[in-house]
Amino acid sequence: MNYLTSIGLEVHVQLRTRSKMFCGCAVGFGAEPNTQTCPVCLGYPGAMPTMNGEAVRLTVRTGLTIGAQINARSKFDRKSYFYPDMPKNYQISQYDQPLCEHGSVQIDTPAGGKVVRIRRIHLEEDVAKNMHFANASGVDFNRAGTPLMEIVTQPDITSAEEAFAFLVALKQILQYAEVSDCNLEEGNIRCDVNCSVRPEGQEQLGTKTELKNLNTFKGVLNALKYEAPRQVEVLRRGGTIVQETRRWDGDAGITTSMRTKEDAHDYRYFPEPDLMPVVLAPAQVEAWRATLPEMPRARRERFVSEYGLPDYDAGVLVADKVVADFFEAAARQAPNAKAVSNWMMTEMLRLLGETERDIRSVPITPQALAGLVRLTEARTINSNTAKEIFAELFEKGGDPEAMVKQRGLGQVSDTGAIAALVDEAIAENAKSVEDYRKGKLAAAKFIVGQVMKRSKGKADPQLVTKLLEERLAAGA
Amino acid sequence: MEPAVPAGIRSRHGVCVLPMSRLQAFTRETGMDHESTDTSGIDVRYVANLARLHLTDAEIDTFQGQLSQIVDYVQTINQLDLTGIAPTSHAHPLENVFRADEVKPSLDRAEVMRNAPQSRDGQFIVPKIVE
Repeated sequence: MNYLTSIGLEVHVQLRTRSKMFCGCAVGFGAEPNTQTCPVCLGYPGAMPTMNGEAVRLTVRTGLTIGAQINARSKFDRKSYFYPDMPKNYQISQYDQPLCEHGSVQIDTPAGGKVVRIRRIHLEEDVAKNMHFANASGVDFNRAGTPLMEIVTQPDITSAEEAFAFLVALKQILQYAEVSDCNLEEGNIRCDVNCSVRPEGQEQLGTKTELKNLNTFKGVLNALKYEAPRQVEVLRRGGTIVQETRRWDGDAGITTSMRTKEDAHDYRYFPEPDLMPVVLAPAQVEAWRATLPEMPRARRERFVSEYGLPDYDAGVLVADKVVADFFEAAARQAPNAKAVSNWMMTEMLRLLGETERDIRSVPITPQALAGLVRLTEARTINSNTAKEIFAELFEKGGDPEAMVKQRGLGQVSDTGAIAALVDEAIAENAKSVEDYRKGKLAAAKFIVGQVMKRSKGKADPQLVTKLLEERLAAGA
Repeated sequence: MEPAVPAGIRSRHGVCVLPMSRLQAFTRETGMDHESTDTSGIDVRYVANLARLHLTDAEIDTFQGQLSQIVDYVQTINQLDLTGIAPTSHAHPLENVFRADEVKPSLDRAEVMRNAPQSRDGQFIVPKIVE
C-alpha cells in the first residue's frame, strides 16, 4: 500500500525592528547575557507592555506579500504555560484574531509549480534562552520579548523536499520584503513541523507528530526524511501513530519521543487585558501595500521576458536580492544582458563562493561589469583577457575600459597582422600542419595556441582560427 | 444589586490575590458560600495542576465550591439576550496604542541580578531543565 504524507509548518520569524515587541530594550544577537532587559521583558508583576507599531507594520507587510487577508480587527492573548524561558508564565501571542489570514506561497517542485496555502500570520513575543550546565540551567532574557511573527501553513506540503522548497521560497519573500534579516545562524527563522501519513485513498489526515524548534532548513529536510518513513513503517507493521512532540537529533539522524505531559498544551488562552486591539483602516493597509517591492517570483519572470534570460538563470539570480540588484544595475548599462548574466552565473558566484564573501562587500561595481561586457561585445578584448580583468575587478575594483587602454590589452583584430603571425606559426610547426592534413583536426588547436602566444594573448582567437583554416585549406 | 468588590482584588493580571480570609468574607457577603450545584465546569484539581499550585484535598474542596459560585455568578449575564453582541475584552474604547520603534536604555545587569536567587555568568540559575 502507498502512503501519502501531509506536512504543515509553523515558521517563527524574527522581525527587523530595533527594539523589542513590548518594551524599549534593544533587539540584538550576541550581547552579554541579561544586558538587554527591563521589568517588562523580565516579566515583573505590574510592568505594562506597550506595542511596537513597527512590528505590526512588518507583519502586515508580510501578509500583503503573500496575498493574505489583513484583518480589520486583531487582538492579543495570553498563552499560559510553565517553563523557565517565560517568567510571566504566559506568552503574549494572538489566538483567534491574528493580523493576517489566508495567504499562499508558490514553490517549485520537480513536478512543477505548486501553491502552499498559508493559514495565518500572527505576532507574538519571543522567549528567553536557556543554557544548560551540569547540575543547573541558566536563563538569558536578552531574546525575551523580541518581536516574532509566526507563519502557519495548511498541511499542503507532501514531502521533505517540498518543505525545504517552501522554506527557501518563504525566506526569499521575507528578504525581498525586508521584514527580517533572515539570519539562520542567529536563529532568525525557526520552524515547528507537523507531519502525518495516511494510506492512499484515505481522505482524512493521519495522526500527526510535531517536531519542535528546528533552526536550519537542512534540519527540517533531514528530520522529515526520517519522520515520514518512520510513520509509514509503524503503520505497515500494524501499529498506530501517537500524537506527540518529537525531538530531531541531527547527529544520530533520528527523531525521538519527548514524552511531554498530555496537559502541557492546555494553554488557556484569554484576551490580554494590558493591550488594546489593533484596528487597521483599509486606507492604512492600502498605503502599506503601495510600498511593496517586486517579489522574487515576479522578478524572475521579468528577468526572462525583459532580459531574455533562461528561466534557470533568472531563478539563480533572483534567489538573493542583492545579487539580483547587482545584475540588474549592470544589465541596464550593458549592451548584452545575457552576457552580464553569464558573468554573474559563472565567475561572480564562483568567486563569491570560493572567498565566502557577500556581493555587497566586494569592490567590483555593476558599472565595472557593464564596462567589461562592452569590451567583450565590441571584441576589444578576448575572453581570456576578460576573465583576468574580472578577477582583478573582483579583488581591487577599477574601471575595465581604462585598464585595457592603459595596459594595451586591446585585442588585435587587424587581419594583416594576425595573418602574418599565422604564417609564421605554420612555417615553424610543419609537424602539426602535416598531422592536421592527415586528419588530426586537433593539431589546428595547437597552432592557434602558438599564434595566441606570439600575440601575447591579444589576438582575437576566432579570427586566428578562421585565418588558419583558410590557409590550411588553401594548402599553404 | 451588585456586591461591592472588596479592596484587595486586583484583577489586572487575571489573578485573584485576595487573602483567604477576605475571600471567605466576600463569598459570605454575596451569598456565594452556599452549596452550589456546580455548573461551572471548573475542575480545580486540574487547573491547580496546570498552574503548578500544590493544594491539599481540603483546599481543593474549598476552592471548588468558591470558584464554582463565582463562575455561576458571572453566568448571570447569560440571562440576557446576547445575540449579535461581540465578546468584550476591554471596557475602554481605545485601540491602536503603539509606541515608536525606539531603543530605550535597559536595566543595569547588576541591578537585574539582585533579584536572582542564584546567578552565574550573568545568567539566572534555575533547577536543571530536563526535557
